Amino acid sequence: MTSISKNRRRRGALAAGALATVLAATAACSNSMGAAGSSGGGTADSSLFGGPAVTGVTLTVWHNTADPQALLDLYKAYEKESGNTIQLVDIPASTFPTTVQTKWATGARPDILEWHGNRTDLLSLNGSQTMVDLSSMSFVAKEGQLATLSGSLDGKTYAATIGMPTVFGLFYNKSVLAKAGLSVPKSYADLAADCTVLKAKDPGVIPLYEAGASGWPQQVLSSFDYVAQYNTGDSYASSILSGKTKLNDPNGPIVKGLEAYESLKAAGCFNSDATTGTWETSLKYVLSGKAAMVANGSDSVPMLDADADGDTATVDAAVGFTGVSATSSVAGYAPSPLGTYYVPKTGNTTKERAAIQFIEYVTGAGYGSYIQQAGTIPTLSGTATPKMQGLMQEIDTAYRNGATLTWNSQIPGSGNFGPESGKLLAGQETPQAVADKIEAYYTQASAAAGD
Amino acid sequence: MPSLTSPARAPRPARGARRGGPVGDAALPAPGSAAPVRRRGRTVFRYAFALPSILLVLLFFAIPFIANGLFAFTRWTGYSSVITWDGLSNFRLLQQLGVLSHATEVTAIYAVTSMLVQNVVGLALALAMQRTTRGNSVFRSLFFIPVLISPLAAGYIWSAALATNGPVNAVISVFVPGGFHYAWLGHNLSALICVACVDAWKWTGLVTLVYIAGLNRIPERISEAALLDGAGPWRRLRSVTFPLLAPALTFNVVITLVGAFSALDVVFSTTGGGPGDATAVLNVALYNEYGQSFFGMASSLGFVITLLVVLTAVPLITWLRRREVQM
Amino acid sequence: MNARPEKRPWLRYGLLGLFAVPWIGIPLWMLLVNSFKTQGDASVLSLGLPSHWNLVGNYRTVIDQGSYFTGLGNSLLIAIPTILAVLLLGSMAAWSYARSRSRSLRVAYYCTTLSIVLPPAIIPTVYVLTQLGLNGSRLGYMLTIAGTRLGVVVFLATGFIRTLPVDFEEAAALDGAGKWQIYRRMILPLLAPVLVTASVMLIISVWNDFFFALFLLPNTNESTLPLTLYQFASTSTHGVAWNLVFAHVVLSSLPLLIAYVFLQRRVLSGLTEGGVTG
Repeated sequence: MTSISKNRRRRGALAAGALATVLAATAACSNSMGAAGSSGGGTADSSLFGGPAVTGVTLTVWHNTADPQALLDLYKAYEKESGNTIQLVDIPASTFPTTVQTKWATGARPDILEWHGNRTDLLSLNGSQTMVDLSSMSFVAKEGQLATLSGSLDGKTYAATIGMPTVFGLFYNKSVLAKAGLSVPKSYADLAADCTVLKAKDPGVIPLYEAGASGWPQQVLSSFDYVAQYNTGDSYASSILSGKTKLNDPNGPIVKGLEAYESLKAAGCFNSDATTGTWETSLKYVLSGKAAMVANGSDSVPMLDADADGDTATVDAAVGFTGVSATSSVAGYAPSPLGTYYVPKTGNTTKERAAIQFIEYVTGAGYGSYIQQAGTIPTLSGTATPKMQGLMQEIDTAYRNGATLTWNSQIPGSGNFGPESGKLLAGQETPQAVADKIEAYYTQASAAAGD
Repeated sequence: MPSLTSPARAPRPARGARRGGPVGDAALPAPGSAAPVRRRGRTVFRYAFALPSILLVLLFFAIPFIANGLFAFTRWTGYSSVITWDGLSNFRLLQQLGVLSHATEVTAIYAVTSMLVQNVVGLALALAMQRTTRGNSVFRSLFFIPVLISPLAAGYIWSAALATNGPVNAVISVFVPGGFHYAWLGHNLSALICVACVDAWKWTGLVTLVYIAGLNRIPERISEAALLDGAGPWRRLRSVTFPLLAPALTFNVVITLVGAFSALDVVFSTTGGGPGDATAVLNVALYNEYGQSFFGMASSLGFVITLLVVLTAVPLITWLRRREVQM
Repeated sequence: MNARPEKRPWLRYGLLGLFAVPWIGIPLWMLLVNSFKTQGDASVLSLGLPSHWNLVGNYRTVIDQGSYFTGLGNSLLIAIPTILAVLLLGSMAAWSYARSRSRSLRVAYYCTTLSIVLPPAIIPTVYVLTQLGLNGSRLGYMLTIAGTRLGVVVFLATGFIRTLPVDFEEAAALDGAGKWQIYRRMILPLLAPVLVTASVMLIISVWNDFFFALFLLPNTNESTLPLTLYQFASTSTHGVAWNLVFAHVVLSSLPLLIAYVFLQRRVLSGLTEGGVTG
């Protein structure tokens, strides 16, 4: 009896060991969660481009639920034009990056993917292996420099970017600044000075509203705005990627920006509930004048309009926009996930061709009416800027006046900058520690991407 | 969420069963029957009845559980199409990023707080509502309501209640001159404690019922004897009730602690891990890594949760059971 | 039950009542009353009655924009078959475990009961589901829930069957009753009180599950109620509107609360007398 049971026990141990080995082996050679769907081949297949129009197929599109009506109408227009059906798969805006990445990780693929144009986000989907190279298409030339920055890896363009980039800067309440006798701030020194004046003259007003509970808005004031002037021609991000400088250089713009942010905080320029404040409240406050200034991006304009019950004239009268950087007025921009489209490799040639024809349509025949309806800045040359509300015009001006790409859009692993800068706001970390962590995340992500 | 039973405790057999003979009689051949043939037939059907359950547990619990121990040591990301063995580097990097020890510490504080609140409040309520009277039944039903609400919903309710202008501060303001406007969820420690208390609030009703069951299983004659011996109420509680309540206590302490190690929902709906990372328990950190396609690192954090559970549950069960009075 | 009358029941009830006010009364009243208010009124989070009733508007918004019925449908579609399957398969397995001396079945039993305390390994679960081609599907989610919840049923039912004398089963077998018949006609009815307890615990944990759903159900059209609540409350336009969040919380909690109103006596006695701790 004893010998039998001992024997059985050993057999059990062996079975467990064998199972472990099998698992390890499958793990070592097939990462289905990372690479499924890459069956389409490594290089661009020229047969996918040109040829007769594909019709009568159903294309699944993973799209962000924050898509503006103009994009939804564009999908409808394409359906009418092509005879194909667009099947929209809603990805909740609140959990957009996580949901896409995790669905992607399971090997699921749509025929068309709406996704961030940032290099780092493309890397996280293993883009060079999983996306169709669109470099040969005609929209690339019209996009100009944007085609090398949005949806681009190693000189190849994998995405068409028709949504207006998010422009980062500072919203301010015009009458609050005027009442305190202040002009529009251009630099971080101006911000600090204006804060002192506002606190003295109008103690009921919050000089700068920070929204820690939303998790991302603090990135704008603590870094995107400050670093903007150093990233002309993407020079700062390039120097990071080439290894010439490090993100946590104590004298580098990242650390300096975080320090400037911390001193604004120490001077009491933020709302007292900065850690629990929300993006939505920040916009309400700057509109009503409860807050003088809010650092954020152009994506906030629809929300401001909604807060004014759609009365854009009220918003235009109350709120202004400016680029504000370390020492000069430079705005930042980043490609928006809304209206940036990829064609993932699905292995279904017919649908891949149809998806490419979708890209042709939205950057060609359908583009003009989309821009008219959306009332935003066109990203493709040869299309006139439509009539926009006053605040959008101010943003357009800041964008055209030498706005630079935000540093994080090219740096892998920078998705962690949101939570890390949140720790600075919460007083849990020093500026240097935040930068050190970001450098570590960058090292981790670039190692993962094989950079 | 806390599961409800501990495998360490098998249900106590009913009285009649002891007379019925040793457990597992059925597998012995009946005297005089054609033993080998019948036994094989029985064994096959036993396996057939257990098979669907075994398959489900194997595929969706056991294999993932073992695999987690392997994935924790691999470089496995969405960036690349291969998974490679990576030794301890996931843990090293998580430590370097300040995630590993911080999230473990936050999880431990969270779990201990939640466990203490649940058991203190639960036991007090159980003592107050022990007897099955009409009035007690009403209170029992009332205190059970939070158990039915989803942890997510509980989080939304309490994040409003704890808001700077919420009812909690409003009540305190009645006693504090000049009003009280503390941001409970806006400061590191108070946020962590509050979130753990919300978790406790959600589950206390269940803990209470387990204690009531335990109390009612104490033979009446023992308490009566103590009463006749002239022991006062506090003394009866200390030297009769508590020792005899030990099985329920063991169960409740282990289950509430282990359950809170895997917390996620309440944190998601109250603070989302903030302010900063003050309430980022291990599962929140795991979700963050997962969401950035760092699957290996996420597995490493899952592995830490497993370690926490094993390293606390096993000694705790052993220790608490040794103190139990055998009845 | 001992019938010795209590000396001061009203003092005790008074204290319980006093504790119930902040513990149950205030939070639930705040939830309910603010879900009837306008957004502006609700943002004050007061406990007073609404100055302007916006009940219909709030609840209609939640139903229209909060995918309430999608969530309710999915929750029912997922929870009912999963719980029934877990009860059936778990009690079948429990019968085997209780009556068999086979070593491998004993190992299986211990593995199953360990699943009650050990935390689920979510990331490898996603991997396994991907290998099976089930990831992101309701079926994959249901199987995972079943695999991780079987432990409770198996544990409770095995312990209970072990206390039952085996003679009747033997007799029935000699009378020519099939195995399935014995299970169906004898074991299952005897197990009824245990299965009531188990189903109460299963319903609470499966219906309210958010953790597994968050990882395993990425498609919005497959969202269960907790997921629709989370998505609704996380969108910026609704997240700041307590009246709407509360209305969604009320609606999401309603199915279980309604069931509780009718079944509370069975629920509570099932949990206090069904031997949760043994």
